[in-house]
Amino acid sequence: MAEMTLPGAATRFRYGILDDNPIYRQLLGMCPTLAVTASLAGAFTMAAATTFVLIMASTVVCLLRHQLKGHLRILVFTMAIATFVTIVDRFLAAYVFSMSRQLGPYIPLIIVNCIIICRCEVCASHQPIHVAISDAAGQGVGFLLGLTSIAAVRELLATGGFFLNEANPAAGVRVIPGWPNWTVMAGPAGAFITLGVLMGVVNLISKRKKS
Amino acid sequence: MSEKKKGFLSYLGQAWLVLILAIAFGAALAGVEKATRPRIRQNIKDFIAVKLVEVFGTGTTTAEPTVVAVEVKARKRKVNCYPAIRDGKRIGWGIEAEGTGYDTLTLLICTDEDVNVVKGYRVVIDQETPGIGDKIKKRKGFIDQFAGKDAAAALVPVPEGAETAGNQVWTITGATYSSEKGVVGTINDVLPAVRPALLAAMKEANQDG
Repeated sequence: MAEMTLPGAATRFRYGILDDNPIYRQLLGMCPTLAVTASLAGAFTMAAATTFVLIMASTVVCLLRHQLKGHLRILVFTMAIATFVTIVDRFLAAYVFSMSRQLGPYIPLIIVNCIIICRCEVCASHQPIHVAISDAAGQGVGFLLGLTSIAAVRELLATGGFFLNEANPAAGVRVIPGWPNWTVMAGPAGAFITLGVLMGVVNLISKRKKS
Repeated sequence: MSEKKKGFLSYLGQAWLVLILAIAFGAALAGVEKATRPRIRQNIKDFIAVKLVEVFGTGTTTAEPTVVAVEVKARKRKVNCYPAIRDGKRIGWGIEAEGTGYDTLTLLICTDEDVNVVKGYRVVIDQETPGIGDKIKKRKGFIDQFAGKDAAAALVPVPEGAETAGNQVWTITGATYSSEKGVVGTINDVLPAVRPALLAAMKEANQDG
């Protein structure tokens, strides 16, 4: 009965991207949001890794939802999340070694990303599997949009382009020729400034949309 | 049935799912580790080859490592020692040393051929805090000061800004734990253990060859 009053798969998916965007609306996952958005490549990898863990952990929790005991559920969530995070960490180290080195401890830290445990608690442990997967995918896409939007602004203002590489000048796309690199945007201060400004823009758009 | 036994069975009854999941997830992780380990080892080898060129100069290559069994801090370990080769001649070593910074830290300690002089170090794997502890792989002045130090004697850490002499090295203010315990501590722990073993292995190889 309870399942009927909860949002369906399409609504869950849409909520994750817009209305319940994990970064701009729920303000979850702030650690990777501030830490790995200095480059688009890092932000994209982090979002992809988090989405994989979200979908897999939600699937496992959803399949076990009728067996879960109230006081042991968080333990089960954490075990599932930690397992899939370790799998992602090993695969990155094996197949994208340079990115694994670049992201360093932030991949293992996905274990404590509140978005995942939140979706397990709110949706996966209460709703059917297609809804749980839609919800996880929506949150993953929302997280991807949030991270890449911040990373795009920071990388552009910090380097004047995207994917530029000092060691290989032919790589990447220079958008603003002769841009005096704003190094502050590559550091923690740039992350806070960009997040604040973009959150303000999102709030403004939402307010106008409502009115 | 006693109360104690009842309690145990009750706990077991409640925790059966956790126990089964622990076994299933553990097996899955063991499988992933087994499947990815060779590739990760190869990535580390390739990375070390690049870093040896950085330390010993262009034209440096490497080969299969000499593995020495040593005891570091009362723990038996096998340490990979990669030869730095140029023009077919071994000019030094890159010792893959495992230590502890804020978390597990793997360094490449480079020495001359006779393991008498430190040529430098590079960070291979670390989990140091970005922006703080990770200065040990970014701060050029800190990294460069290790070249020329005596590999047979312990390094002596001094605070940043202090004058250094002999085997003294300054540590990074704001990353003291990573630079002192992580880098200096790992070199001081690993080199005294590896040096005699590596020299013995070289002597043995020379006699055989």
